[in-house]
Amino acid sequence: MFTEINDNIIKTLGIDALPVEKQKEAMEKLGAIVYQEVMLRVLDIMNDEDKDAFEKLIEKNPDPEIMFTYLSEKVPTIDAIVSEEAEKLRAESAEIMSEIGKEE
Amino acid sequence: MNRESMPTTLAEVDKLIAETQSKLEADTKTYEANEKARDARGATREANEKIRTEKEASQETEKEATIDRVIAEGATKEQANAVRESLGMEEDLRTPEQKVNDARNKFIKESLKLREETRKRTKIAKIKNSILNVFRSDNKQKIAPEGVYPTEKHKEAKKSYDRAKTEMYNDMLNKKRIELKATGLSGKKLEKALTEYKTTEIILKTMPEERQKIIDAKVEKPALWKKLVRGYMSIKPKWKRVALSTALFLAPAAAGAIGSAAALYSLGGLAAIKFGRSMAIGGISATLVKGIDWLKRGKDAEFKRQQEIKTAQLQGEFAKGEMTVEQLEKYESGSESIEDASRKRLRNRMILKMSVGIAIGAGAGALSHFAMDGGGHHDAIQPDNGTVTPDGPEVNTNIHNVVEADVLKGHGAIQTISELQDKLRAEYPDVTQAPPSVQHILSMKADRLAIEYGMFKPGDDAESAIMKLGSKFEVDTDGNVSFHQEGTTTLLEQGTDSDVSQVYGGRMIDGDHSGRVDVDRDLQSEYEKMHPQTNPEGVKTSDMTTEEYKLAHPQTDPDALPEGVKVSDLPDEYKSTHPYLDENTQTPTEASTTPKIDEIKTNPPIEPLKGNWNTGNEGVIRPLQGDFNIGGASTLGTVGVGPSNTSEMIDNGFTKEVPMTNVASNEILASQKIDNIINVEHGPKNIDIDRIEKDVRHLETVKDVRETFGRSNVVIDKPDDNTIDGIKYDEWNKSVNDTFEDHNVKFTSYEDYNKERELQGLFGESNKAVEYTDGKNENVITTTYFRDPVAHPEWNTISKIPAKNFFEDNINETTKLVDGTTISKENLDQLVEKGVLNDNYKFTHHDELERLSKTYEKLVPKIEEALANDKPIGNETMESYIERITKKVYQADDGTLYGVKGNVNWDNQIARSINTSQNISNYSGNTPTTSIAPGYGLWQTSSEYNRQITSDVLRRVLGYNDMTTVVRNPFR
Repeated sequence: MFTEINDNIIKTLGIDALPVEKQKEAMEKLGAIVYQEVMLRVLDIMNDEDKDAFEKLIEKNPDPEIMFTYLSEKVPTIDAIVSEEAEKLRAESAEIMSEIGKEE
Repeated sequence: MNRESMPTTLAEVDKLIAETQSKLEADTKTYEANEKARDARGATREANEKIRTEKEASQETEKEATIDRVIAEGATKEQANAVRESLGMEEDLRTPEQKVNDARNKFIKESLKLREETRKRTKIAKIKNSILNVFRSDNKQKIAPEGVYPTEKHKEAKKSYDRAKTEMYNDMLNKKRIELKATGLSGKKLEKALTEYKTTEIILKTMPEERQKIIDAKVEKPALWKKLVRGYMSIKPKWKRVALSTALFLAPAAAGAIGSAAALYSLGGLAAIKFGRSMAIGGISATLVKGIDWLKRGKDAEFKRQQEIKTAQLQGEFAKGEMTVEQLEKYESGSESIEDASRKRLRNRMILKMSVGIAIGAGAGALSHFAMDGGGHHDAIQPDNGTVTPDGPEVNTNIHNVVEADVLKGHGAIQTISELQDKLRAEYPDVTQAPPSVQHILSMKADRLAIEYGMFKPGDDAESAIMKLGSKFEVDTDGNVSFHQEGTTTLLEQGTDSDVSQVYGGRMIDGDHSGRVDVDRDLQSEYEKMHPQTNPEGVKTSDMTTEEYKLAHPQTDPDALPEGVKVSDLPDEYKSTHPYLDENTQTPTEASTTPKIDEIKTNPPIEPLKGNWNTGNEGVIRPLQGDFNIGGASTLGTVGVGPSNTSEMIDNGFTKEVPMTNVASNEILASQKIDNIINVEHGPKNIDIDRIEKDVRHLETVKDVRETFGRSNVVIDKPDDNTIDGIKYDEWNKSVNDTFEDHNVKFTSYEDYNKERELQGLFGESNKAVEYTDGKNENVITTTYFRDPVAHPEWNTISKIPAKNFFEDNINETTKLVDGTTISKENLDQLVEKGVLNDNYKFTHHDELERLSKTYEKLVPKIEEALANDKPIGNETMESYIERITKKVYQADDGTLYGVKGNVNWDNQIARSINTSQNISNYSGNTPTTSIAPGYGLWQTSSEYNRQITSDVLRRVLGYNDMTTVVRNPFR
């Protein structure tokens, strides 16, 4: 679980060298990607009734805490999905940082 | 047709018509046959064309794949072109961006195909799993759908796409390199600039854009998707969005903050990581830690609420006056339990934060720091060379949890400040890293701080600030210290300053009665003078027993000798038992934390029996009539004159220190055995020492209790470890224990305990709430059992009753279960085959119910109550009981639910379910929120459903054609 990528991801991606505001922007951008990837997968898992209920829920209250609570109930594996999608993005990013420009 | 050949008779006309029709039909057939032949030829041509195209495409794909493989194996561009030429392919003149576009399109196409195939597989798997999942009421235990198994084509498309992206990124970087070199950059500066370019332009721009294109292509429900994205992007304030994003990107550890797997890593693992790694990513750590607190805030609020309920209940019991040994034990253990819960919570939160922090490489030391004190003062240090640079990340030094100390019943400013100090110590274990204000607070004694804050004015008659229940001290995330009371906030200290900014300006009160009572201070013993603040009732310590002495001095080390005090000065009884006497030689030793005399002197002694009547604002105060308990079961009658404002007295803790006149005091002192009066720190809890001494059950520890009572599963406050005689405990408490002790129930296995725990929810004092999911075809009733949180605040557990309990006999149609799932007759049969259900679908928990029935035999209420509560009636047989409580209701196609009234002709007395505008609440956790009160529902007592009906009967009687059977929760 604890790879080099995880251990140093922020440094590996060079995010630590950015000003704080840029760091936050970076996290926001990368987190949004993970969020969307996760949502794609959970929507794929949920049945139509649950999706409809979910849609109503986020219409009524888009609070992420409530949203994730609902998803945790409907998609028992959501923690694992989040982990997987985050890991995929981290791995891709880290690979780019380490491999790009290498041959030069 | 010529004239001669024209028909002249009707028969000839008929013949001609027949011939013509026949010819036409023949022609039509010929035409159709020709058409078909033509179509067939066309189809063949098309098929051949398709085959040819596919073959060509396949060959082309194979060639492309070969080229990809060559490149992947490290071939240069020239070598790849040579291979391309050898395969008869033209040189690839596409730009890297075009190649990415093409590869992306292929990848998307294969991904969508894969998704469809996966869905088909999942559908099949779901059917299989649904049978097994029927009995997994907890979603988390359910078997998850199968994973995605990429096809070869998908894998190949992904590889091509990845390679195209890599080529594009390389191309971007090379162009940038050329551009930078042209400006004269070289060496490390060039590398640094290129690294920055990779981060900002590739990692944070191009790569996310590529990802976004794939995501967009996969979206199926644009309307829902739009809401999801918009909802996410509108999370406010922004730091919350950043925190959530960070948590998501840094999962898996952070995933625990969202779901349930909080601590993925062990403490041992954390401890193995060395302290003191770079703090360069402190900003992100801090944001994330803050985010976790935010994500957990709901639970925090509930935790706090529960702690308050428990504390209030404990104190309420304590304040009743008479205190038995058992009650005292309950109080003590309860207090410890509450504190322990707070510590555990803090520790768990710390583990979570540490886990999260590790994922971003902050290091255990930094993580501990952030987890425990929310960040502190650190330099912006570059990770590699340790030099401070202006471009280095800003470290957030002000991320802390808000620390609050609420004014509890009977507590004044000093006690509340002391509590605040305790909490701050927990929040800031390394005080040197705390804000100046916090450092100041922690460097002071509580009474000194109270003086600084203007809440304690020794020497004044009205020396103590009025502390109202519900008021609180608060240290915010920036270290600002404030006092909140009745809508007024006093900023006592700025976080950045150790000086007091503002002092309390509210009302003061004569809390020590110095303005009312005057007693010759010479009457006090040396001990009273040394420990003035711990002896408010003026009991001579020289008259105290050792235990009394210890109890009377709870806030100081009772074993420590004040400086200058010799053992020979101690009361006789204390001399022989003082812990600082060497056991063998009786030689006094020095206490390690001996308070200094000069410090004591700075606290003006509270002289409770000093002075005359208070001349302050409150008027004459006297003990409450008939309520003044001075020890044991004794109470005093009317003494003196009544208070001018009783509520104020209570609000300000006067339930424990009842002011009185000299006369009243003397009367009391004269008429009572002072030896038997002892006060403990928290209130008017006068204990009869005789009773303690004589009571053989005065047991100090859980172990003592266990040994004395011979019970193996007693839990006074908390178990010694996580098991009770090897049985893992969960949601267990003394109340439960007491109940079973009363009924001679002893568990010998964890399974037994678990069954009992589950069934507890079904009987006794449990309440029920019906949650109703509205909407056609999805009307589902879920009944939740809970303990009344008001009457039983110690019960937090909500027991969801598994669907498996609710099968009925002889179901021969598709059945909807209470958890919303349906199960077919066929599936039920399969379950029977697997031995999960009995062949007649009866309760599988029959044995448990029977056992429980015996357990609760003595608790069985009167018949009326039993009917209402669905408890077993008297020695009702289990068969009868199950039959009585296992009922069906029927749902019409307009959503209305029907059942049958009891003791009536069930063919014509259909009972429409009553309006449930009362007595039903929706529960979030065990907290009642709003009444759900649907227009129809199931709130009748069980007697209204004591007959079973069939849907056929309902169809006939009601004229409905579309009836869905709903298996009713039998315990409702």
